[in-house]
Amino acid sequence: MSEDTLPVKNESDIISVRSFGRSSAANAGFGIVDQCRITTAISELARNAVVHGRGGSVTIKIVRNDKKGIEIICRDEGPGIVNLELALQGGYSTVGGLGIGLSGAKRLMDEFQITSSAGKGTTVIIRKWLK
Amino acid sequence: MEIPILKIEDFLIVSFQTELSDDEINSLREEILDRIKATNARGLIIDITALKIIDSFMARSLSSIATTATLLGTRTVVVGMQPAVALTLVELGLRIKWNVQTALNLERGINLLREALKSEKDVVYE
Amino acid sequence: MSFREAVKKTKKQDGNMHKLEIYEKILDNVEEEIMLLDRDFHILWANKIVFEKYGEDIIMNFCYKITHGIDHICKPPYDICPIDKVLKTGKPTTIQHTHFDRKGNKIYVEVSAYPVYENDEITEFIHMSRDVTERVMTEEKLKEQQQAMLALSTPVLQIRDQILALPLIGTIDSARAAQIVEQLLNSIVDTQASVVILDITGVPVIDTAVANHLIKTIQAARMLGANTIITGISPANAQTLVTLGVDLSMMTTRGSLRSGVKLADEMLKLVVMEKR
Repeated sequence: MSEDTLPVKNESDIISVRSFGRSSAANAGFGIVDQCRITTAISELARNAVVHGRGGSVTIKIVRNDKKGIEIICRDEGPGIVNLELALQGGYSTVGGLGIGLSGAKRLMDEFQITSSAGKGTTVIIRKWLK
Repeated sequence: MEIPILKIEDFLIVSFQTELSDDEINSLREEILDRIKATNARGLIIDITALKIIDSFMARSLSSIATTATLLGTRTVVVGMQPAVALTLVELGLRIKWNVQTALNLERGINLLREALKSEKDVVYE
Repeated sequence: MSFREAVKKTKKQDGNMHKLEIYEKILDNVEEEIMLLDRDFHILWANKIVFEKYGEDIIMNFCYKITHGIDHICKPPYDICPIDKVLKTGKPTTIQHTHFDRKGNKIYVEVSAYPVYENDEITEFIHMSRDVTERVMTEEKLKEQQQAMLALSTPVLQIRDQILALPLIGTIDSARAAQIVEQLLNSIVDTQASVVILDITGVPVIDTAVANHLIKTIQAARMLGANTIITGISPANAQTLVTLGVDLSMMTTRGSLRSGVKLADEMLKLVVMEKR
Protein backbone atom coordinates (compact mmCIF):
# COMPACT_ATOMS: atom_id res chain seq x y z
CA MET A 1 0.00 0.00 0.00
CA SER A 2 1.26 3.42 -0.87
CA GLU A 3 0.41 6.03 1.69
CA ASP A 4 0.98 9.77 1.98
CA THR A 5 -0.20 12.27 4.54
CA LEU A 6 -0.58 15.98 3.88
CA PRO A 7 -1.52 18.72 6.31
CA VAL A 8 -4.62 20.78 5.68
CA LYS A 9 -4.25 23.87 7.76
CA ASN A 10 -5.25 26.62 5.36
CA GLU A 11 -6.82 27.33 2.02
CA SER A 12 -3.82 26.73 -0.18
CA ASP A 13 -3.49 23.31 1.47
CA ILE A 14 -6.93 22.47 0.10
CA ILE A 15 -5.67 23.14 -3.40
CA SER A 16 -2.50 21.08 -2.86
CA VAL A 17 -4.30 18.12 -1.41
CA ARG A 18 -6.76 18.22 -4.30
CA SER A 19 -4.09 17.98 -6.95
CA PHE A 20 -2.26 15.29 -5.01
CA GLY A 21 -5.55 13.46 -4.70
CA ARG A 22 -6.12 13.67 -8.43
CA SER A 23 -2.72 12.29 -9.33
CA SER A 24 -3.10 9.52 -6.75
CA ALA A 25 -6.46 8.61 -8.23
CA ALA A 26 -4.90 8.55 -11.68
CA ASN A 27 -2.04 6.37 -10.43
CA ALA A 28 -4.50 4.04 -8.80
CA GLY A 29 -6.01 3.49 -12.24
CA PHE A 30 -9.23 5.48 -12.07
CA GLY A 31 -10.70 7.08 -15.19
CA ILE A 32 -11.32 10.79 -15.64
CA VAL A 33 -14.80 10.87 -14.19
CA ASP A 34 -13.85 8.89 -11.11
CA GLN A 35 -10.77 11.08 -10.67
CA CYS A 36 -13.14 14.03 -10.60
CA ARG A 37 -15.39 12.35 -8.06
CA ILE A 38 -12.50 11.43 -5.81
CA THR A 39 -10.86 14.85 -6.03
CA THR A 40 -14.15 16.58 -5.28
CA ALA A 41 -14.80 14.33 -2.27
CA ILE A 42 -11.30 15.10 -0.97
CA SER A 43 -11.94 18.79 -1.46
CA GLU A 44 -15.14 18.62 0.56
CA LEU A 45 -13.45 16.84 3.47
CA ALA A 46 -10.38 19.04 3.39
CA ARG A 47 -12.48 22.18 3.39
CA ASN A 48 -14.49 20.93 6.38
CA ALA A 49 -11.24 20.27 8.23
CA VAL A 50 -9.95 23.77 7.53
CA VAL A 51 -13.17 25.70 8.02
CA HIS A 52 -14.82 23.76 10.84
CA GLY A 53 -12.09 21.54 12.21
CA ARG A 54 -9.36 24.10 12.88
CA GLY A 55 -7.08 22.32 10.47
CA GLY A 56 -6.01 18.69 10.24
CA SER A 57 -4.49 16.19 7.84
CA VAL A 58 -5.44 14.09 4.84
CA THR A 59 -3.94 10.65 4.26
CA ILE A 60 -4.24 9.16 0.79
CA LYS A 61 -3.62 5.42 0.32
CA ILE A 62 -3.52 3.57 -2.96
CA VAL A 63 -4.75 0.08 -2.17
CA ARG A 64 -3.38 -2.82 -4.24
CA ASN A 65 -4.40 -6.06 -2.56
CA ASP A 66 -7.11 -8.37 -3.80
CA LYS A 67 -9.21 -5.24 -3.86
CA LYS A 68 -7.74 -2.31 -5.78
CA GLY A 69 -8.68 1.29 -5.24
CA ILE A 70 -8.08 4.35 -3.11
CA GLU A 71 -8.62 5.21 0.54
CA ILE A 72 -8.62 8.69 2.02
CA ILE A 73 -8.59 9.49 5.71
CA CYS A 74 -9.27 13.04 6.82
CA ARG A 75 -8.59 13.88 10.44
CA ASP A 76 -9.04 17.05 12.36
CA GLU A 77 -8.83 17.99 16.00
CA GLY A 78 -11.57 20.52 15.94
CA PRO A 79 -14.64 20.82 18.09
CA GLY A 80 -16.19 17.66 16.65
CA ILE A 81 -19.70 17.18 15.33
CA VAL A 82 -22.31 16.90 18.02
CA ASN A 83 -25.14 15.49 15.97
CA LEU A 84 -23.68 13.23 13.28
CA GLU A 85 -27.00 12.10 11.95
CA LEU A 86 -28.16 15.64 11.45
CA ALA A 87 -24.91 16.56 9.77
CA LEU A 88 -25.11 13.67 7.34
CA GLN A 89 -28.60 14.67 6.33
CA GLY A 90 -27.19 18.02 5.46
CA GLY A 91 -28.81 19.51 8.50
CA TYR A 92 -25.92 21.83 9.09
CA SER A 93 -26.25 23.32 5.66
CA THR A 94 -26.72 26.73 7.14
CA VAL A 95 -23.34 26.62 8.84
CA GLY A 96 -21.25 27.06 5.75
CA GLY A 97 -21.81 23.68 4.21
CA LEU A 98 -20.49 21.13 6.70
CA GLY A 99 -23.40 18.83 6.07
CA ILE A 100 -23.40 19.34 2.33
CA GLY A 101 -19.72 18.51 2.17
CA LEU A 102 -20.08 15.31 4.17
CA SER A 103 -23.17 14.02 2.40
CA GLY A 104 -21.66 15.03 -0.92
CA ALA A 105 -18.46 13.11 -0.24
CA LYS A 106 -20.54 10.12 0.85
CA ARG A 107 -22.50 10.17 -2.39
CA LEU A 108 -19.43 10.33 -4.56
CA MET A 109 -17.55 7.43 -2.97
CA ASP A 110 -18.21 3.71 -2.45
CA GLU A 111 -17.51 3.63 1.29
CA PHE A 112 -17.88 6.31 3.94
CA GLN A 113 -17.12 6.11 7.67
CA ILE A 114 -17.15 8.93 10.16
CA THR A 115 -16.26 9.14 13.82
CA SER A 116 -16.65 12.36 15.70
CA SER A 117 -17.43 13.51 19.19
CA ALA A 118 -17.70 16.85 20.90
CA GLY A 119 -14.29 18.19 21.76
CA LYS A 120 -12.45 15.25 20.23
CA GLY A 121 -12.29 16.12 16.57
CA THR A 122 -13.49 14.27 13.51
CA THR A 123 -12.12 11.44 11.37
CA VAL A 124 -13.67 10.62 8.01
CA ILE A 125 -12.61 7.60 5.94
CA ILE A 126 -13.75 7.32 2.33
CA ARG A 127 -12.93 4.64 -0.23
CA LYS A 128 -13.50 3.99 -3.89
CA TRP A 129 -12.79 0.72 -5.69
CA LEU A 130 -11.83 0.02 -9.26
CA LYS A 131 -14.46 -1.93 -11.14
CA MET B 1 -3.84 35.40 -9.33
CA GLU B 2 -5.35 37.92 -11.67
CA ILE B 3 -8.41 36.75 -13.51
CA PRO B 4 -9.23 39.12 -16.35
CA ILE B 5 -12.76 40.39 -16.80
CA LEU B 6 -13.29 41.25 -20.42
CA LYS B 7 -15.96 43.44 -21.89
CA ILE B 8 -17.29 42.46 -25.30
CA GLU B 9 -20.07 44.70 -26.59
CA ASP B 10 -22.44 44.89 -23.63
CA PHE B 11 -21.37 41.63 -22.05
CA LEU B 12 -18.79 40.84 -19.43
CA ILE B 13 -16.79 37.65 -19.81
CA VAL B 14 -14.87 36.05 -16.96
CA SER B 15 -12.65 33.06 -17.72
CA PHE B 16 -11.53 30.82 -14.88
CA GLN B 17 -8.06 29.66 -15.85
CA THR B 18 -6.71 28.09 -12.72
CA GLU B 19 -7.93 26.74 -9.44
CA LEU B 20 -8.83 29.46 -7.03
CA SER B 21 -8.65 29.50 -3.28
CA ASP B 22 -11.79 30.43 -1.37
CA ASP B 23 -10.46 33.93 -0.73
CA GLU B 24 -9.67 34.43 -4.40
CA ILE B 25 -13.17 33.32 -5.35
CA ASN B 26 -14.67 35.76 -2.89
CA SER B 27 -12.64 38.70 -4.15
CA LEU B 28 -13.37 37.77 -7.74
CA ARG B 29 -17.04 37.85 -6.88
CA GLU B 30 -16.70 41.36 -5.51
CA GLU B 31 -14.77 42.45 -8.56
CA ILE B 32 -17.36 41.11 -10.96
CA LEU B 33 -20.17 42.82 -9.15
CA ASP B 34 -18.23 46.09 -9.11
CA ARG B 35 -17.61 45.84 -12.84
CA ILE B 36 -21.27 45.16 -13.47
CA LYS B 37 -22.25 48.27 -11.60
CA ALA B 38 -19.56 50.29 -13.32
CA THR B 39 -20.32 49.18 -16.87
CA ASN B 40 -24.02 48.43 -16.67
CA ALA B 41 -23.34 45.26 -18.54
CA ARG B 42 -26.49 43.50 -19.67
CA GLY B 43 -24.97 40.04 -19.67
CA LEU B 44 -22.32 38.08 -17.81
CA ILE B 45 -20.63 34.97 -19.13
CA ILE B 46 -18.61 32.85 -16.75
CA ASP B 47 -16.33 30.52 -18.68
CA ILE B 48 -15.36 27.44 -16.67
CA THR B 49 -13.88 25.42 -19.54
CA ALA B 50 -10.59 25.11 -17.63
CA LEU B 51 -12.08 24.03 -14.32
CA LYS B 52 -11.41 20.37 -13.64
CA ILE B 53 -13.25 20.37 -10.37
CA ILE B 54 -16.22 22.16 -8.91
CA ASP B 55 -16.88 21.31 -5.28
CA SER B 56 -19.86 22.46 -3.25
CA PHE B 57 -18.15 25.73 -2.28
CA MET B 58 -17.33 26.64 -5.87
CA ALA B 59 -20.83 25.64 -6.95
CA ARG B 60 -22.36 27.88 -4.30
CA SER B 61 -20.04 30.73 -5.26
CA LEU B 62 -20.87 30.51 -8.96
CA SER B 63 -24.53 30.30 -8.13
CA SER B 64 -24.34 33.30 -5.86
CA ILE B 65 -22.46 35.37 -8.44
CA ALA B 66 -25.11 34.51 -11.02
CA THR B 67 -28.02 35.28 -8.73
CA THR B 68 -26.58 38.56 -7.52
CA ALA B 69 -25.72 39.64 -11.03
CA THR B 70 -29.24 38.85 -12.15
CA LEU B 71 -30.64 40.92 -9.30
CA LEU B 72 -28.53 43.78 -10.57
CA GLY B 73 -30.17 43.35 -13.95
CA THR B 74 -27.41 41.36 -15.61
CA ARG B 75 -28.33 38.02 -17.14
CA THR B 76 -25.75 35.34 -16.38
CA VAL B 77 -24.68 32.18 -18.18
CA VAL B 78 -22.04 29.66 -17.15
CA VAL B 79 -20.33 28.02 -20.12
CA GLY B 80 -17.89 25.24 -20.82
CA MET B 81 -18.53 22.80 -18.01
CA GLN B 82 -16.49 19.62 -18.50
CA PRO B 83 -18.52 16.37 -18.69
CA ALA B 84 -16.77 14.84 -15.68
CA VAL B 85 -17.47 17.97 -13.66
CA ALA B 86 -21.12 18.05 -14.76
CA LEU B 87 -21.61 14.46 -13.71
CA THR B 88 -19.87 14.97 -10.36
CA LEU B 89 -21.88 18.09 -9.65
CA VAL B 90 -25.12 16.27 -10.31
CA GLU B 91 -24.01 13.43 -8.07
CA LEU B 92 -23.01 15.82 -5.30
CA GLY B 93 -26.68 16.30 -4.86
CA LEU B 94 -29.55 18.65 -5.26
CA ARG B 95 -28.83 20.40 -2.00
CA ILE B 96 -26.36 22.52 -3.83
CA LYS B 97 -28.29 25.49 -5.03
CA TRP B 98 -27.63 25.52 -8.72
CA ASN B 99 -30.04 27.84 -10.42
CA VAL B 100 -27.59 28.85 -13.04
CA GLN B 101 -28.23 28.93 -16.75
CA THR B 102 -25.63 26.91 -18.59
CA ALA B 103 -24.48 26.66 -22.17
CA LEU B 104 -22.04 24.44 -24.00
CA ASN B 105 -19.48 27.07 -24.95
CA LEU B 106 -18.83 30.79 -25.31
CA GLU B 107 -20.58 31.12 -28.65
CA ARG B 108 -23.73 29.38 -27.44
CA GLY B 109 -23.62 31.42 -24.26
CA ILE B 110 -23.54 34.68 -26.15
CA ASN B 111 -26.38 33.55 -28.43
CA LEU B 112 -28.43 32.53 -25.43
CA LEU B 113 -27.95 35.90 -23.75
CA ARG B 114 -28.82 37.78 -26.94
CA GLU B 115 -32.08 35.89 -27.34
CA ALA B 116 -32.98 36.20 -23.69
CA LEU B 117 -32.35 39.92 -23.70
CA LYS B 118 -34.35 40.38 -26.87
CA SER B 119 -37.40 38.61 -25.49
CA GLU B 120 -37.05 40.22 -22.10
CA LYS B 121 -38.95 43.19 -23.36
CA ASP B 122 -42.02 41.05 -23.92
CA VAL B 123 -41.76 38.53 -21.10
CA VAL B 124 -42.35 39.25 -17.45
CA TYR B 125 -39.17 38.35 -15.54
CA GLU B 126 -39.74 35.37 -13.28
CA MET C 1 19.88 -42.83 -9.90
CA SER C 2 16.64 -42.07 -11.71
CA PHE C 3 13.95 -39.98 -10.11
CA ARG C 4 11.67 -42.96 -9.79
CA GLU C 5 14.27 -45.05 -8.09
CA ALA C 6 15.00 -42.25 -5.67
CA VAL C 7 11.37 -41.98 -4.68
CA LYS C 8 11.13 -45.75 -4.24
CA LYS C 9 14.21 -45.71 -2.08
CA THR C 10 12.87 -42.89 0.10
CA LYS C 11 9.74 -44.86 0.70
CA LYS C 12 11.71 -47.84 1.89
CA GLN C 13 14.19 -46.09 4.13
CA ASP C 14 14.46 -42.76 5.80
CA GLY C 15 16.98 -41.47 3.28
CA ASN C 16 17.51 -37.79 3.91
CA MET C 17 19.92 -37.52 0.99
CA HIS C 18 17.25 -38.85 -1.33
CA LYS C 19 14.75 -36.45 0.12
CA LEU C 20 17.10 -33.60 -0.55
CA GLU C 21 17.59 -34.77 -4.13
CA ILE C 22 13.85 -34.83 -4.57
CA TYR C 23 13.32 -31.41 -3.09
CA GLU C 24 16.04 -29.94 -5.25
CA LYS C 25 14.66 -31.60 -8.31
CA ILE C 26 11.26 -30.08 -7.67
CA LEU C 27 12.49 -26.63 -6.76
CA ASP C 28 14.91 -26.44 -9.68
CA ASN C 29 12.32 -27.44 -12.23
CA VAL C 30 9.40 -25.17 -11.42
CA GLU C 31 9.01 -21.87 -13.19
CA GLU C 32 8.53 -19.90 -10.00
CA GLU C 33 11.47 -17.98 -8.58
CA ILE C 34 11.86 -19.11 -4.99
CA MET C 35 14.12 -17.55 -2.38
CA LEU C 36 14.64 -18.00 1.34
CA LEU C 37 15.26 -14.67 3.07
CA ASP C 38 16.29 -13.77 6.59
CA ARG C 39 14.58 -11.02 8.57
CA ASP C 40 16.99 -8.45 7.16
CA PHE C 41 16.10 -9.26 3.56
CA HIS C 42 19.32 -11.19 2.81
CA ILE C 43 18.98 -14.06 0.38
CA LEU C 44 19.94 -17.25 2.22
CA TRP C 45 19.04 -19.65 -0.57
CA ALA C 46 17.53 -19.52 -4.06
CA ASN C 47 16.35 -22.08 -6.62
CA LYS C 48 18.07 -22.62 -9.96
CA ILE C 49 15.92 -20.30 -12.00
CA VAL C 50 16.88 -17.36 -9.78
CA PHE C 51 20.57 -17.97 -10.44
CA GLU C 52 19.90 -18.32 -14.12
CA LYS C 53 18.05 -15.03 -14.17
CA TYR C 54 20.13 -12.85 -11.89
CA GLY C 55 23.60 -14.38 -12.00
CA GLU C 56 25.76 -16.32 -9.60
CA ASP C 57 26.44 -13.63 -7.01
CA ILE C 58 23.18 -13.68 -5.08
CA ILE C 59 23.57 -15.30 -1.70
CA MET C 60 23.68 -12.87 1.23
CA ASN C 61 22.77 -9.98 -1.04
CA PHE C 62 19.58 -7.99 -0.42
CA CYS C 63 16.54 -9.35 -2.27
CA TYR C 64 15.54 -5.87 -3.43
CA LYS C 65 18.99 -5.22 -4.80
CA ILE C 66 18.92 -8.42 -6.82
CA THR C 67 15.35 -8.33 -8.10
CA HIS C 68 14.78 -4.60 -8.47
CA GLY C 69 18.27 -3.11 -8.51
CA ILE C 70 17.41 -0.66 -5.72
CA ASP C 71 18.97 0.06 -2.36
CA HIS C 72 15.90 -0.01 -0.16
CA ILE C 73 12.94 -2.27 0.35
CA CYS C 74 10.33 -2.07 -2.38
CA LYS C 75 7.88 0.76 -1.85
CA PRO C 76 5.92 3.20 -3.99
CA PRO C 77 6.35 4.60 -6.60
CA TYR C 78 7.95 1.21 -7.17
CA ASP C 79 6.32 -2.05 -6.20
CA ILE C 80 5.21 -2.73 -2.66
CA CYS C 81 7.15 -5.15 -0.45
CA PRO C 82 5.09 -8.17 0.55
CA ILE C 83 7.48 -9.15 3.34
CA ASP C 84 6.70 -5.93 5.15
CA LYS C 85 3.06 -6.95 5.20
CA VAL C 86 3.89 -10.47 6.37
CA LEU C 87 5.86 -9.00 9.26
CA LYS C 88 2.88 -6.89 10.23
CA THR C 89 0.20 -9.53 9.85
CA GLY C 90 2.10 -12.75 10.48
CA LYS C 91 0.30 -14.32 7.54
CA PRO C 92 1.24 -15.16 3.96
CA THR C 93 0.55 -12.41 1.46
CA THR C 94 0.45 -12.03 -2.31
CA ILE C 95 0.99 -8.79 -4.19
CA GLN C 96 1.19 -7.95 -7.86
CA HIS C 97 4.33 -6.23 -9.08
CA THR C 98 4.95 -4.51 -12.40
CA HIS C 99 8.41 -5.03 -13.86
CA PHE C 100 9.82 -4.03 -17.24
CA ASP C 101 11.88 -6.14 -19.58
CA ARG C 102 14.84 -4.81 -21.53
CA LYS C 103 12.56 -3.51 -24.27
CA GLY C 104 10.43 -1.63 -21.79
CA ASN C 105 7.47 -3.98 -22.08
CA LYS C 106 5.41 -4.52 -18.95
CA ILE C 107 5.84 -7.81 -17.14
CA TYR C 108 3.35 -8.57 -14.40
CA VAL C 109 4.74 -10.62 -11.57
CA GLU C 110 2.78 -12.08 -8.69
CA VAL C 111 4.91 -12.14 -5.56
CA SER C 112 4.00 -14.27 -2.56
CA ALA C 113 5.75 -14.11 0.78
CA TYR C 114 5.40 -16.80 3.44
CA PRO C 115 6.62 -16.59 7.04
CA VAL C 116 8.75 -19.38 8.49
CA TYR C 117 8.09 -19.80 12.20
CA GLU C 118 10.38 -21.21 14.83
CA ASN C 119 8.95 -21.24 18.35
CA ASP C 120 6.23 -18.74 17.42
CA GLU C 121 8.73 -16.27 16.04
CA ILE C 122 9.31 -15.50 12.38
CA THR C 123 12.90 -16.41 11.56
CA GLU C 124 12.86 -16.43 7.78
CA PHE C 125 10.66 -15.71 4.78
CA ILE C 126 9.96 -17.62 1.62
CA HIS C 127 9.74 -15.29 -1.36
CA MET C 128 8.07 -16.77 -4.39
CA SER C 129 7.30 -15.02 -7.65
CA ARG C 130 5.58 -16.10 -10.84
CA ASP C 131 5.04 -14.44 -14.16
CA VAL C 132 1.36 -13.64 -14.61
CA THR C 133 1.70 -11.31 -17.57
CA GLU C 134 -0.42 -13.46 -19.81
CA ARG C 135 -3.21 -13.76 -17.27
CA VAL C 136 -3.25 -10.04 -16.53
CA MET C 137 -3.17 -9.13 -20.21
CA THR C 138 -6.08 -11.46 -20.85
CA GLU C 139 -8.03 -9.91 -17.99
CA GLU C 140 -7.32 -6.42 -19.28
CA LYS C 141 -8.29 -7.38 -22.78
CA LEU C 142 -11.53 -8.90 -21.55
CA LYS C 143 -12.31 -5.71 -19.69
CA GLU C 144 -11.65 -3.66 -22.82
CA GLN C 145 -13.92 -5.89 -24.83
CA GLN C 146 -16.65 -5.60 -22.25
CA GLN C 147 -16.37 -1.82 -22.38
CA ALA C 148 -16.48 -1.88 -26.15
CA MET C 149 -19.55 -4.10 -26.06
CA LEU C 150 -21.26 -1.81 -23.62
CA ALA C 151 -20.51 1.13 -25.85
CA LEU C 152 -21.81 -0.69 -28.90
CA SER C 153 -25.01 -1.64 -27.17
CA THR C 154 -25.70 2.01 -26.55
CA PRO C 155 -25.11 3.79 -29.82
CA VAL C 156 -25.48 7.54 -29.76
CA LEU C 157 -27.00 8.64 -33.06
CA GLN C 158 -26.74 12.09 -34.47
CA ILE C 159 -30.01 12.50 -36.30
CA ARG C 160 -29.81 16.22 -37.06
CA ASP C 161 -27.27 18.95 -36.79
CA GLN C 162 -27.86 19.50 -33.10
CA ILE C 163 -29.99 16.54 -32.11
CA LEU C 164 -28.74 13.30 -30.62
CA ALA C 165 -30.87 10.20 -30.19
CA LEU C 166 -30.04 7.45 -27.75
CA PRO C 167 -32.27 4.35 -28.02
CA LEU C 168 -31.81 2.31 -24.86
CA ILE C 169 -32.44 -1.40 -25.05
CA GLY C 170 -32.46 -3.96 -22.32
CA THR C 171 -31.98 -3.72 -18.60
CA ILE C 172 -29.91 -0.89 -17.25
CA ASP C 173 -27.77 -1.63 -14.24
CA SER C 174 -25.56 0.99 -12.61
CA ALA C 175 -22.47 0.03 -14.59
CA ARG C 176 -24.33 0.44 -17.83
CA ALA C 177 -26.05 3.60 -16.68
CA ALA C 178 -22.69 5.14 -15.76
CA GLN C 179 -21.28 4.23 -19.15
CA ILE C 180 -24.35 5.59 -20.95
CA VAL C 181 -24.32 9.00 -19.29
CA GLU C 182 -20.56 9.39 -19.80
CA GLN C 183 -20.82 8.49 -23.45
CA LEU C 184 -23.75 10.83 -23.91
CA LEU C 185 -22.03 13.81 -22.29
CA ASN C 186 -18.93 13.32 -24.40
CA SER C 187 -21.12 13.10 -27.51
CA ILE C 188 -22.86 16.34 -26.60
CA VAL C 189 -19.50 18.07 -26.41
CA ASP C 190 -18.20 16.44 -29.59
CA THR C 191 -21.28 17.17 -31.71
CA GLN C 192 -22.34 20.38 -29.95
CA ALA C 193 -25.83 18.99 -29.64
CA SER C 194 -28.54 21.03 -27.94
CA VAL C 195 -31.23 18.37 -27.75
CA VAL C 196 -30.95 14.77 -26.66
CA ILE C 197 -33.72 12.23 -27.18
CA LEU C 198 -33.53 9.28 -24.82
CA ASP C 199 -35.79 6.54 -26.08
CA ILE C 200 -36.62 3.92 -23.49
CA THR C 201 -39.12 1.88 -25.52
CA GLY C 202 -36.75 -1.05 -25.29
CA VAL C 203 -36.24 -0.88 -21.54
CA PRO C 204 -38.59 -3.39 -19.94
CA VAL C 205 -38.35 -2.39 -16.31
CA ILE C 206 -38.10 1.08 -14.86
CA ASP C 207 -37.48 1.07 -11.14
CA THR C 208 -36.32 3.85 -8.82
CA ALA C 209 -32.71 3.20 -9.72
CA VAL C 210 -33.29 3.54 -13.45
CA ALA C 211 -35.52 6.56 -12.92
CA ASN C 212 -32.77 8.20 -10.89
CA HIS C 213 -30.24 7.40 -13.59
CA LEU C 214 -32.52 9.10 -16.12
CA ILE C 215 -32.89 12.18 -13.95
CA LYS C 216 -29.15 12.30 -13.41
CA THR C 217 -28.60 12.11 -17.15
CA ILE C 218 -31.10 14.90 -17.78
CA GLN C 219 -29.46 17.16 -15.19
CA ALA C 220 -25.94 16.50 -16.37
CA ALA C 221 -26.94 17.14 -20.00
CA ARG C 222 -28.48 20.43 -18.94
CA MET C 223 -25.18 21.48 -17.39
CA LEU C 224 -23.82 21.21 -20.91
CA GLY C 225 -26.65 23.31 -22.27
CA ALA C 226 -28.62 20.43 -23.76
CA ASN C 227 -32.29 19.66 -23.25
CA THR C 228 -33.40 16.08 -22.92
CA ILE C 229 -36.61 14.52 -24.15
CA ILE C 230 -37.56 11.09 -22.84
CA THR C 231 -39.61 9.03 -25.26
CA GLY C 232 -41.20 5.60 -25.19
CA ILE C 233 -42.37 5.30 -21.61
CA SER C 234 -44.88 2.45 -21.61
CA PRO C 235 -48.16 2.86 -19.70
CA ALA C 236 -46.95 0.31 -17.16
CA ASN C 237 -43.69 2.15 -16.63
CA ALA C 238 -45.51 5.45 -16.44
CA GLN C 239 -47.64 3.99 -13.66
CA THR C 240 -44.52 2.80 -11.85
CA LEU C 241 -42.87 6.19 -12.08
CA VAL C 242 -45.92 7.93 -10.65
CA THR C 243 -46.21 5.39 -7.83
CA LEU C 244 -42.54 5.70 -6.99
CA GLY C 245 -43.01 9.41 -6.53
CA VAL C 246 -40.26 10.25 -8.96
CA ASP C 247 -39.83 13.95 -9.60
CA LEU C 248 -41.40 14.13 -13.01
CA SER C 249 -41.09 17.89 -13.31
CA MET C 250 -37.56 17.13 -14.35
CA MET C 251 -38.67 15.24 -17.42
CA THR C 252 -39.91 16.35 -20.81
CA THR C 253 -41.56 13.35 -22.36
CA ARG C 254 -43.18 12.25 -25.59
CA GLY C 255 -44.87 8.98 -26.47
CA SER C 256 -42.70 7.94 -29.37
CA LEU C 257 -39.28 8.58 -30.78
CA ARG C 258 -40.92 10.26 -33.76
CA SER C 259 -42.85 12.74 -31.67
CA GLY C 260 -39.70 13.33 -29.69
CA VAL C 261 -37.85 14.26 -32.86
CA LYS C 262 -40.70 16.57 -33.82
CA LEU C 263 -40.45 18.36 -30.50
CA ALA C 264 -36.69 18.59 -30.83
CA ASP C 265 -37.09 20.19 -34.26
CA GLU C 266 -39.50 22.73 -32.82
CA MET C 267 -37.12 23.54 -29.99
CA LEU C 268 -34.36 24.23 -32.49
CA LYS C 269 -36.64 26.11 -34.86
CA LEU C 270 -37.45 28.60 -32.16
CA VAL C 271 -33.78 29.34 -31.88
CA VAL C 272 -33.36 29.64 -35.64
CA MET C 273 -36.37 31.93 -35.98
CA GLU C 274 -35.05 34.31 -33.39
CA LYS C 275 -31.85 34.72 -35.35
CA ARG C 276 -33.74 35.97 -38.38
